Amino acid sequence: MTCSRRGLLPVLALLSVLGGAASAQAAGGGSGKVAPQYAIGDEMFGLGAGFFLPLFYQDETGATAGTNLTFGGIAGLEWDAFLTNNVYLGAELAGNFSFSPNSQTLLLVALTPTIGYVFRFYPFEIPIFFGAGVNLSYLSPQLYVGPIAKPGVGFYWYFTSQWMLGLKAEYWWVPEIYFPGWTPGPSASRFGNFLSTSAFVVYHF
Amino acid sequence: MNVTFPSKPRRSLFRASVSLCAVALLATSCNYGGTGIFYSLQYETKIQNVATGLPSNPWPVIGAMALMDGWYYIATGAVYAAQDNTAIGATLAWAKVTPPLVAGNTGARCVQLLTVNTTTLYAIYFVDTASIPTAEGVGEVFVGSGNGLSITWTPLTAFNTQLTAADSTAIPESIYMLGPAGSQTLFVSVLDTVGSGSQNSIGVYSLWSFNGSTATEILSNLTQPVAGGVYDLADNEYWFISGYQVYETSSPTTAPSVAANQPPVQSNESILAGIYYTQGFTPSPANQDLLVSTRDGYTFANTAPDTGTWSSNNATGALEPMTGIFDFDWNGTDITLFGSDEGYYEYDEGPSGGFTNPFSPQHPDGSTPSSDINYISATLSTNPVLGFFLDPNVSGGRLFALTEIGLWRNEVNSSGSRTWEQD
Repeated sequence: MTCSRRGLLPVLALLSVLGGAASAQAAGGGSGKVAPQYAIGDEMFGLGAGFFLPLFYQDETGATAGTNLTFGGIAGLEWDAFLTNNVYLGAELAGNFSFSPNSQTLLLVALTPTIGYVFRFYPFEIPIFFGAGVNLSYLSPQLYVGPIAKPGVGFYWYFTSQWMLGLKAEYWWVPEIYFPGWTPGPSASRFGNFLSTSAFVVYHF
Repeated sequence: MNVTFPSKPRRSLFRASVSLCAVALLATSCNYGGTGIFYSLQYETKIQNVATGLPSNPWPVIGAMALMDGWYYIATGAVYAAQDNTAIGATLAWAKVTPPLVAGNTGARCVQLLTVNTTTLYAIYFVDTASIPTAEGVGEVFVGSGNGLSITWTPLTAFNTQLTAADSTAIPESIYMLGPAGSQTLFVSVLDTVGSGSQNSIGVYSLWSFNGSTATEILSNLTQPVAGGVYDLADNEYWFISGYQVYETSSPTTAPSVAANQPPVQSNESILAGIYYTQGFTPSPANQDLLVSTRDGYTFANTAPDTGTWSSNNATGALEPMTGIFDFDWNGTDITLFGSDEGYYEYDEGPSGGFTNPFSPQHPDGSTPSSDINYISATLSTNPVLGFFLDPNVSGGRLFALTEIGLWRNEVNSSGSRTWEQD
């Protein structure tokens, strides 16, 4: 096993920034048949499933190559808390699978703190968000734990004042970095690029 | 100014903080073995079955392989043969070679096979007879002559009769043809059911040499079988392994003695499993190495086996239980391969060859001029690899792995890397 604390610093910085933003917010809330308004303390919980599309790998020189993976599936759940009517902070846990040419299963499981901004056109809303956290990549018998970044966009429809249904697309950027002295060496480093599209149902509370 | 948050926002912030801290604690880059997940996926190719005529999986154990007069031969119960098509990726058309059909035989299984020139195969067949219809049969050494699928097997009567005269139930288990070119001697590792003293009738092992007319028992009453033998060209010595000890002799008909310079095995329980001799990338006495491996996961190399220091992986830790050893030249680099109960290991000796002390063989990881680029994606990597065989007539060398899940083939692909396919 080879480990490094290099991935810790960016996450701590993100934690600090997000924590500062959170503490600056005021309380509030809302529900009803008019366009919902949110404030700090309001939360939402969502779960969904969809498709996972492997795009390409990039090596340390910038060269790209195909992933050699099939279409896959994805499932996830998220929890978010509003800081203002439009800004939310939360976390998403998502896992996906896809298959190699010899039917090996690649599993990616990511836990990402997320910050998002919501554009509202009641009864629709379009959140844009960015998550960064930790990802577990598993291809038997290999396991790699590393960072991940997931920008994304959604399109939701309020079918009640508390429930939304919609689609979410996320870009998975998964660095698998091997430093000098590690096994394998730096030449095995790759940056995985994937796209997921999911149907999500979201509950506001 | 003091700010008091309502309870609900406080819970939200607490949950967010806990989530983020958990992520922060986990956000270290760690990998657990392997070649790199995305890297191995990038180069993974569909494992092709590049042969016809062989049994479908799961296979019986491959006992041995030989190349004679443009034909491959493998021992896997039956002997199968295929023409040596040297084109990269060529489909090999295997077919079964008719076994010895001595009168009264009801079946025959080949467990060992070797060739010494372009005209003769040597094999050990276990032959069932009407009087022993369901037993393991009687092991006999056979000589195969002919070509391709037209092999005529003849019992090596001069040896078999002398062996059975000494012990009517002796079973030949392995054969080695060792010695200088043009003057090689057949050695046969035998399981005896007649022992002496405390070993009596519980099964002991012996080693016989056969010079073409006279069979001589040169090692006897061994508690472990002679698991391998090599000929040291530089020192004109024959080396054998049995149990945890290495034996040596300078004459094929003289009893080998326990070598004075033994590899530093972990204990008397360290059973030696593989022995290999190489003259090195640039053949010379200075570049030679005698290698042995053990069932408790250690391997040793010595460039001057009579007196020199054994290099080993003792300091770097045990590997999987080891089996056969092999080395080959890949793209200007001498790579030594160590079969094991779970895939195989390789050691990159580099252009100048040789072993550091300690040295640590690794599973192919793509970070060196590796024998493999799709190792991790092949089931070969999780099954016992018993030995290797190289056909040097194929560009880049066609490497075979003899495994408990059949015959695997390793060639240079169009991108210049080596990949495994299954025969």
